[in-house]
Amino acid sequence: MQVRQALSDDILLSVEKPARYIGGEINMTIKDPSEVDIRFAMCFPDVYEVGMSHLGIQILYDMFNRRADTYCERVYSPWTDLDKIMREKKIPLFTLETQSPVKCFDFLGITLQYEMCYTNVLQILDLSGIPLLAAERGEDDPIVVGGGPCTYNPEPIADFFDFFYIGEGETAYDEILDIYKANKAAGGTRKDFLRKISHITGMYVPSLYEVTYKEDGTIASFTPTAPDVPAKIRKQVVTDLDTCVYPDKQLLPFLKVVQDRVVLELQRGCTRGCRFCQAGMIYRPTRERSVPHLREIADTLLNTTGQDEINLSSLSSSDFSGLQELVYAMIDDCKQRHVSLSLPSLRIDAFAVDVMQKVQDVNRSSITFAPEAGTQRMRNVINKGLTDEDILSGAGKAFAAGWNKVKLYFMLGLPTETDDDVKGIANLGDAIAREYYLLPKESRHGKAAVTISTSYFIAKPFTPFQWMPMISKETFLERQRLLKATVGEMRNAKSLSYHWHDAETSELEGIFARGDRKLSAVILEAYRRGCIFDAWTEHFKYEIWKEVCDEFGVSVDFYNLRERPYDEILPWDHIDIGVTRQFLYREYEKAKQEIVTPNCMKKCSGCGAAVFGCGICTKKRGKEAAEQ
Amino acid sequence: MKIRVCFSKFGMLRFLGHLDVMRYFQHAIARASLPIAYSAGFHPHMILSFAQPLALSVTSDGEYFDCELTENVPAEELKTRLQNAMCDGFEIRTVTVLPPQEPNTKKQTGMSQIAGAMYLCEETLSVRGLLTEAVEKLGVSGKAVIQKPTKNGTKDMDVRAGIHAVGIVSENGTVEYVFRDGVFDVPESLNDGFGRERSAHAAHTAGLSRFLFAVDAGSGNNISVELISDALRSVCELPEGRILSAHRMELYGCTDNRMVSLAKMK
Repeated sequence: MQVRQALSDDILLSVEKPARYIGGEINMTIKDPSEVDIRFAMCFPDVYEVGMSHLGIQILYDMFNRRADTYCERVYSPWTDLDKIMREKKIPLFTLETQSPVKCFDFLGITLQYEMCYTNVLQILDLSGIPLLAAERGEDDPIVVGGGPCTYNPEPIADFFDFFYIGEGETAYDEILDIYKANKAAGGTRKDFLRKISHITGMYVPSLYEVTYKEDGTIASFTPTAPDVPAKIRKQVVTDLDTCVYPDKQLLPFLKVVQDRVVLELQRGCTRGCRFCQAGMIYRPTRERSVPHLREIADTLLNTTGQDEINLSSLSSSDFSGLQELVYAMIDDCKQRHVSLSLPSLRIDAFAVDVMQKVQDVNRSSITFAPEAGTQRMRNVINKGLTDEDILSGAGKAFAAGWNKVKLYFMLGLPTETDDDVKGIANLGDAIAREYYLLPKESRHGKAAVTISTSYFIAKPFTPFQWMPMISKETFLERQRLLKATVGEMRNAKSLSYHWHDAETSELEGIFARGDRKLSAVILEAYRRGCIFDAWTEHFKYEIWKEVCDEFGVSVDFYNLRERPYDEILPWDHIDIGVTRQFLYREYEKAKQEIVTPNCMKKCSGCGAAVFGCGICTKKRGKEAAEQ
Repeated sequence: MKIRVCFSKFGMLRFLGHLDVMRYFQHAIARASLPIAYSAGFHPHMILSFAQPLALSVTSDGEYFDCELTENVPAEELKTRLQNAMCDGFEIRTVTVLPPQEPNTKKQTGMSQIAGAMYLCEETLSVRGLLTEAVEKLGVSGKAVIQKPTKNGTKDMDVRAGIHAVGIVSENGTVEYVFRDGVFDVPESLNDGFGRERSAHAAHTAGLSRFLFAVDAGSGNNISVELISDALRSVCELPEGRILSAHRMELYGCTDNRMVSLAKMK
């Protein structure tokens, strides 16, 4: 089939990496658009190499295209060079598969993986020629739907979307597409369709809700505008991962992308309950895939892509019950195929060291810990079940096995943090280096290299810290300086290095994370003044954001720096993730008292996710399991 | 055993860069489960060697790579298995078994054997109707001095000696040569078979003139499409911008001062 070419040869030759825009990858779905009823444009609002690395899109792309009546195509953000040309020459944004204008599609689905992509969402709509505000769209415009983790608080971008799909995508799209077809056949309007799907669990149609504010800017009321529209929107959950769709063919990009490997999703959710972690709450309950199913998927994926690396992905691989069985079974197979195995988020223990020795190059690779905080007190506050002992013994084992590089990840600005907690980070780094020098000289390989990285704690919705204040940018910088100085004073300072994260991006991320609908106007204005690709340091224009925030009266104090009272209506309170507000508040109180909560695998703490009746919630644990 | 694979690259994949083509074939070889040999060491890689990189936007029927296999497999079977792993835009043309390397001889890879290339070019819309005169002039001219960028500015370079045949392709596919020095066997017509069907993947826009160039290639003296364009500019005033879209018809090695298709090189 001769495909349309959306960009001329001259344009393609003038932009960086034209292969971003031509499609045609291995395992791309080819259909005749004139033979389907529904055309779905699936978008990751960032550059191709980032978007193509995302597993969720691969799953949905495959799922949609299994329907004979639907053709799902992909679209990514044109990089700034092409963006400029498209605006100048008025070239409409197009999909990769058939190079057709996005505007002629029935749906535009946008995945929202991080807050800093919000201006890119507007770029996508703008270049497509779709009105930026949902309220201004007509019958000929695609239905714009958002999904992904940011939809758990979609309020800052509520004005730009026709609806949000809250929760896991595998479950309800069939029903939505069927309703769409029926509505279209019956001559129904866009509004009719949105009203109908608002009755489906997980579907949030922002235009069907009204918000009023108090004088202080907090929410006075948040109510549906009609009696048939549900007041609470409960997320969609896959109850059995072994029977739900998983692509047997993942798209294989020509370009080297950020995640240049096959991704095998071991499980969803995490049982640890770290109090800063949103993923640990919104993906509850933890559900595993079975080892035979995973091996089958892995084999198929490697055969259909020819990739030379496979990544066992999960929020906390060490907690996956079949990990040893799976990994030992895969190691030999992978070796034979010349495929390397990568296991991120592994707790460093004897098993991990054994596996890493088999799959990694000891001389080149480093081992990674994420203690998140430097003192036990602070780790109790955040419920990070990792002790100094665990870290030091893990590092000791890795050092004995030949490693000498360690990476450590921490957060600065965690609730209740003191200067001692900050200094504790340097002490922990120093203690790890000391562990290395305790080895006899002949078993060491040069100097230890301990890298300490800190990021800026951002309070996220649906975490026990959702009511907590963040620290100001100025305080953050002070603590960075304190840590830098303390690292320099350490005995093993020469073996330590310190890296930090940019504060300005994090400040804005904090505003968006817990933001309300008033922010839509701010995002729109910042975009109009040239903000785009905010997640890219080189394109982030802090000055413009600051200027616009000031003009619209949006203050860091209000969104980031104040403690929210329990009775305040939070912008995301209408969304129901199963985990209850009462549980989160209990955890918030326990955090202040430095009391830890056990891992779900040991004991159920009654978070509320059991309402979904699946995964870890249905298993007997702790005493109960022992009695059996 | 060692094999040489000849493949076509066409369609939108003409915008795929050389490194990405190499990655693509590494994955394709894995999908086809060819018994490919790997290098030793902690990070083993496939023993693969690619011929002359192709510039972006140029299609080709004469792309090559050599690789080493650990088992003997019939060439026809290899061709079928590889072809089944291709996507639209790549096509396996031939797979030939290379003779084992004679002891005490220098290792000859496809890359080091390359001496010539043949291009079928089409004028772009921006110079429609302007190129024929330039091509005729280039064919009869004894020199074509172009400015080659160097570290300290530019340097004059005569590329004319590297151009061995200059032809004008008529609407019905016959080629009239303004110049040919006999180093290449050149086709009288694009339709005459010429050993195998050629230029199937070259774009042909009705109303745009087409030309054929046979030139030196490889690490010694590489006359790229860009240099051909510069050579045309050196003999005739032409507008700025891209003036030729190109299709590489074949890559050649050289024995006894005659160009031989890389697939047939010993």
